[in-house]
Amino acid sequence: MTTNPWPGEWMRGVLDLCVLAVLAEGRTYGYAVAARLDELGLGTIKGGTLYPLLARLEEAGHVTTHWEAGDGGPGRKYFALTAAGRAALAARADAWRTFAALTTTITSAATAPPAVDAAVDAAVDAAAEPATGAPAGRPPNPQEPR
Amino acid sequence: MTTDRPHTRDAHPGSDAAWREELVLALRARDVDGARIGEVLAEVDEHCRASGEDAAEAFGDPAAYAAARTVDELDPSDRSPRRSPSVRQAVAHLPSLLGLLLVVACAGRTTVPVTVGWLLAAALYPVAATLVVHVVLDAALTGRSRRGLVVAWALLTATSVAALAAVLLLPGVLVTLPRTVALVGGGTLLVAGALVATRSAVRSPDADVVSRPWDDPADVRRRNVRAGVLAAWLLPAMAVVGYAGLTALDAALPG
Repeated sequence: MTTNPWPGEWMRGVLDLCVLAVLAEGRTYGYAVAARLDELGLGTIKGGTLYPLLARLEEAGHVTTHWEAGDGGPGRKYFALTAAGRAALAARADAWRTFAALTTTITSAATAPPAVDAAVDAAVDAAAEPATGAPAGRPPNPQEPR
Repeated sequence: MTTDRPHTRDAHPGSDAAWREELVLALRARDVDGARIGEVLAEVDEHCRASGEDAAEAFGDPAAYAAARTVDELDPSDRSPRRSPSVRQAVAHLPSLLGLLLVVACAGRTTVPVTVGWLLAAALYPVAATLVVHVVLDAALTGRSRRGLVVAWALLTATSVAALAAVLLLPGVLVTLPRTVALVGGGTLLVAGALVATRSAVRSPDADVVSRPWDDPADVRRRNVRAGVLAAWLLPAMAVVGYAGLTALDAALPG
């Protein structure tokens, strides 16, 4: 069973959006949502986290619920996205993509090698080339014209 | 789309039952009604059945889960008043309680002396019962139900000691009733109180039993009425048992 590959604070920021996205795939029940999120790579989502979130989505009008009784036994609660839920999903997904692109730009700039180091590396490589003109490290090809 | 896992809940029936009791207590302490409690329990049952996890594993601490299910879902202005009994409600049962004590006091006696201590003792129990319910529910709010039960037992024991002390230390007789008068008077108080409560339970059932989302509303109403009627006749039943028990004890004791 998978656990949680992502920091908790990241998950708290995106879980409701991801749940809306799973519900956009079709009407389904609680455990199926958790299993689908796990399948998609978000890790294990416990019932203690999922059901309060689903209840908040229902309170906000993004989700409707329906109990279907079992055959003479316990029932199952199904969740379905409303039109307002689809609109919220579209808006927040768009905002998330913008935010993710922004954080990618910021973190890429901070972790990429600086431009001066790249220039120095290029100069060192050029000085290390042998007189034959062949790139350093490659033996001269007797077939090539000098 | 998803293959549910075979449930292993049967491997932990005792712990799951205890977890669910804690959850129900914690939700009651947060003034959640019976239908809503039933829905939360049904979600827990369904998820545990599908995932194969036990309730503690899937939902964590029951008091914390109850808080998570209520903090965002109920606007503070929508919360109903505390469903636990108030002292005023408990004192409303005082006539029936006096009836119980009168009937039980008749066992093995030809006359029943009504003393100051005896009346004080009778008044202590409704107050103690109210405090006990509040203590238990407040403990459930913080996930300390067992501690709450220990405090409740201590409260009841202290009340019984105080009641006994009142009877012994305040022996001044206010009135001495013949056994027949005490029995008829006590029985009348008991039956009248039970009839009033029964009428209320049938017309406006407020027992608020825990019900599942797929339960038939008519059946839920019948269960609420049944719970209310049972509660209404609890004191008369205690009077009958108490009178019979003490009479048998009196007959068995020498002299």
